[in-house]
Amino acid sequence: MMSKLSLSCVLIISFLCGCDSNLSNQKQESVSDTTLDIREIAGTMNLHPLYGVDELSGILGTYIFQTLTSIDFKTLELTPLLADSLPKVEPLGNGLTNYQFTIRDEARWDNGEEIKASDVEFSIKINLLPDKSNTGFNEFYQSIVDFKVDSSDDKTLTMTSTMNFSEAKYLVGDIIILPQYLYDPNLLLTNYTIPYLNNNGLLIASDSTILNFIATLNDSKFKSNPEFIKGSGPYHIKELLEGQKITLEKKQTWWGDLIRNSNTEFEANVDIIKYHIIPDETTALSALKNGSIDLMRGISPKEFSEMKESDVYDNRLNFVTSPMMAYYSLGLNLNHPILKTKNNRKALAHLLDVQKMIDIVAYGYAEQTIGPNAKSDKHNYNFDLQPYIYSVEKAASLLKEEGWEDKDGDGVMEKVIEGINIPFELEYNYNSGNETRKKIGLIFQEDAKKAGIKIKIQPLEWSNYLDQLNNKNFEIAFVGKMFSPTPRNHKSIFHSESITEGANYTSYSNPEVDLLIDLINNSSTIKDRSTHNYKLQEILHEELPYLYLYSPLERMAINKEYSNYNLSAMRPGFWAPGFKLKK
Amino acid sequence: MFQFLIRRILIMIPTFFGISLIVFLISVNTPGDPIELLMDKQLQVKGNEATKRSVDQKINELGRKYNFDAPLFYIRVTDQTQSDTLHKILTKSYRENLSKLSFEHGDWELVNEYNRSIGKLTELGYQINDVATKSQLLQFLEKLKKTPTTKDLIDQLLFFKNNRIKDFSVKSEINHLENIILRMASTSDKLNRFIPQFIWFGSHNQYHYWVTNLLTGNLGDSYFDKTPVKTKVGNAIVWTLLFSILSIVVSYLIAVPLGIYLSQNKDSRFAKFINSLLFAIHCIPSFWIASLLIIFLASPEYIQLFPSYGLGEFNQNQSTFGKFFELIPHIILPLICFSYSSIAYISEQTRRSILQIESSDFILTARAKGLTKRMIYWKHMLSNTSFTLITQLGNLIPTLISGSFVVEYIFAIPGMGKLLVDSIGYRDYPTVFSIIMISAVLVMLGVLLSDFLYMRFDPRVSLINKKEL
Repeated sequence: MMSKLSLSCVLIISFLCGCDSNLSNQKQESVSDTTLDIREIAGTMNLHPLYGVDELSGILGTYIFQTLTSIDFKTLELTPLLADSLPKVEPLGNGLTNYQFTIRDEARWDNGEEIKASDVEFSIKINLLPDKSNTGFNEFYQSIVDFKVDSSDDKTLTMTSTMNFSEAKYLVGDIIILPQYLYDPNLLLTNYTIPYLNNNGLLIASDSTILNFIATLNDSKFKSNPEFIKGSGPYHIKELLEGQKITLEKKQTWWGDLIRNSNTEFEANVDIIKYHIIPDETTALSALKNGSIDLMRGISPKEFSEMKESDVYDNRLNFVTSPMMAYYSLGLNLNHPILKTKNNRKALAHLLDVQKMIDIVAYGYAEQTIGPNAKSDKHNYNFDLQPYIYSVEKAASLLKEEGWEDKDGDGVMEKVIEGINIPFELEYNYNSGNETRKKIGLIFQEDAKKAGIKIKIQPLEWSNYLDQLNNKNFEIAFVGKMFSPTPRNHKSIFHSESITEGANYTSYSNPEVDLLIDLINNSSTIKDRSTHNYKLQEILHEELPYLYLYSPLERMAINKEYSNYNLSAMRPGFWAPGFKLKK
Repeated sequence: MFQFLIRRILIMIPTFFGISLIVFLISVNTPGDPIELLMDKQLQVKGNEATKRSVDQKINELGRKYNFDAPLFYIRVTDQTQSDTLHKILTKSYRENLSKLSFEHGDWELVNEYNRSIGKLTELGYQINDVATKSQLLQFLEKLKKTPTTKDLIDQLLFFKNNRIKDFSVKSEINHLENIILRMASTSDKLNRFIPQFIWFGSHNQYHYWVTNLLTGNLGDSYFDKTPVKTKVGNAIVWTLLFSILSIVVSYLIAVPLGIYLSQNKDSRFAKFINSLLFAIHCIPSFWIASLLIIFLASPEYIQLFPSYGLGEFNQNQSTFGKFFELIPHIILPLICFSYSSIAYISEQTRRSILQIESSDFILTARAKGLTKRMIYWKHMLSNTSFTLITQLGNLIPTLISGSFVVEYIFAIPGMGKLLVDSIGYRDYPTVFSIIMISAVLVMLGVLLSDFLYMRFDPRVSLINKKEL
């Protein structure tokens, strides 16, 4: 009996040791292959360059596909990518502008063929098809009235557009260039010109050949079969396991390796990038600690703070943060009888202890902000404006000025508005399940109470919360915004035209702001744009349709064996292909 | 036996339809407009006038494709103010506002005319060449669609006429619309609100299509990535079934000997301790156990024995045997979470059953015959308690399916549970409701299996049923 027991024990122990060694071997092998293991919360099974819907497909898309120009990951400036320079712009004087690009000499497809102007033409055409699933929609495509390939150089092209350069600067080169040999092997789109596709929408929509082509484009092979997800970028898909992992492999010969001293997008040092889909944070942290993954972003502020302070990980992990092009704010419904008065809004602004929120909710990993532009946007963020200071006295004095008084002694201010005695009570809406937003509401509720303002916290199911925002059926709502590094277009949020259609949830209307938004959108120089943006933020800071809180910082833990993170405000906050193994 | 099973299956049919009706009612009452959820966000946001039209076309296209233009159910019970064709309005908020206007005015025919006028003006609006005028008119119509009372409609109309519009090719239609709105506001047939109306739609209804598709295996397309739900569920169910089957096997392999051991040593301190421990762990929620296992057995801070997530690194050149060995360390922790509750439950069942028959005559006889303790417990006692254990099999299935929701999420196993949690996060309702229906069917099959096993192995049940039959 004893001997059987001993044998069982030996077997179990050797099996368990096997498990552990298995784990170590796995990592050892990875290191020798320069494999970067990254944790992601959610996976994707749709890597179609035109139909991607989630964040991960967008990130992977930048490693697989390329555009003519892009925003440099590190400098956030517009830089050439597939094109050898930014476009040569020639205004034609009749409302039309010519944009000329030349594709880099080195640029090649995976089959060794040169990337030519005709590939750009094909990529524009594919976006002009009446395909309503296309999420890469770019309004510049629709403005092209003519497209010409240089007769002496098949890598030089000229697009004639009705958009001027100030409107088109970031759009003109933002075209994902696709290999026609893969997506249109029968060269069907060669039979159509760009102006024809632009001018004959109804005819094309009933053209059975085009409709069949669109159906082929929607085939699942272009979404999840590695053989059919290929671009001119440094990586191709090696393996795609639904809900488990996605493996990218560096191409053995990638044309971009010949380009030296250029933008970050040409740095591709990692052989294999593996994305591990681990939704639960505890599990992911455990994988990070045991070395199964090298990089984890979006760590909760509490965990990040605790791990950073602990000396257990000093030898293994670097804890880094990067700015995010995002802000948290409270939207105020300006149709509400209380909130339509500016001084009432100012009183609320003085009751927001943003620093306390940053300390308690974000554990210090955030920066206070005053307006809708990102602090990392050095030209356009108004650094002259100071946030409203937290002061119950100032709030109380503003409320007194407006005639608010606690007449019945119940701790809540009252005032007669339009013949009705109204208590200063407001509802704060946020999407249920979001702890950050809940905590911000609780801190606000506690501080508002000190000035006799009652805040009721109301969590709402996500769709319901969005419905309430869209229908302007709210009083105060948490509004978080994340944006790209391209110049911000404030039209949909602050322009009076966007009250009915758009994201002007607060119903803010100010002719001066409308004019400024138009001026910003039509500015051709950095200086003009900056001046108008400064003025816009000044007005918004005074009028307060939104109470701005803070911009969170991206929190990451990265294996110390790696360097060269290229931290950036652009998502996901680091340039994975550029990572280098320390010697 | 055969008749008994047939009768059970016949009872399951109305149960299935009852569940499907509840699930369908929940699905149609979830917040948000299903067509908006199916549409691409980019198309809605980046709207110029040209794309606005394509949005309208897309709404109609999706409405037809997914039968959103059909009535909800076979029958509708409402009042006389409501139209029987209201379901043809595809935008949820506009449909609700038209219903409110009908209720306020009392006659749906005039509201119908109002809707037609809005439609005609929209068409005329698209044909206007001047972009600013076109935009003004279309924005005005959008505002009207979002307005639920005639008072507000008049306000909108006055504002539009006084401040915005000078000259229009569509002026006569605007006047017509004004006329309709004023007529709606001036008269109100309140009596109609109190007269009930029963409308029969036949089989052309959303529930009918939904349940028929469900029965034929067509689960629709995901709102999130537009892939067929059938494919998503098909990929996920493999892992959930694998873990469920393994869990059942492991549970019985551990729980039965444990139950026998505990009954054999019922008076020992150790057995009493184990018994209490089993009670305790049976009460611990699986998400907590899962987190504890990961922290203590998969993290370098304590003992790093197992990988903390996933199913391993499969190499394409690996043999099936190699893949199996790769998988084993990855499935141990999830398997513990899947099984610990069943182990505690089955071992307790085994212990009690054995204790019940311990003093039976046939056991006394066996003892008197001088059979070994091992023979008595493993042969005579176990065979007499086996039907209790086998019948527990049916009860395990629902527990395992509900347990998988948490365990798969935590261990990043791409099964049905994780798919459900992800789909809830994405508001991917077709996937969510398909998984709920599949789980309901699996639970019903579990109950059927349980009934069948009772019948097959417990002579007392067979006898009762024979008498009944």
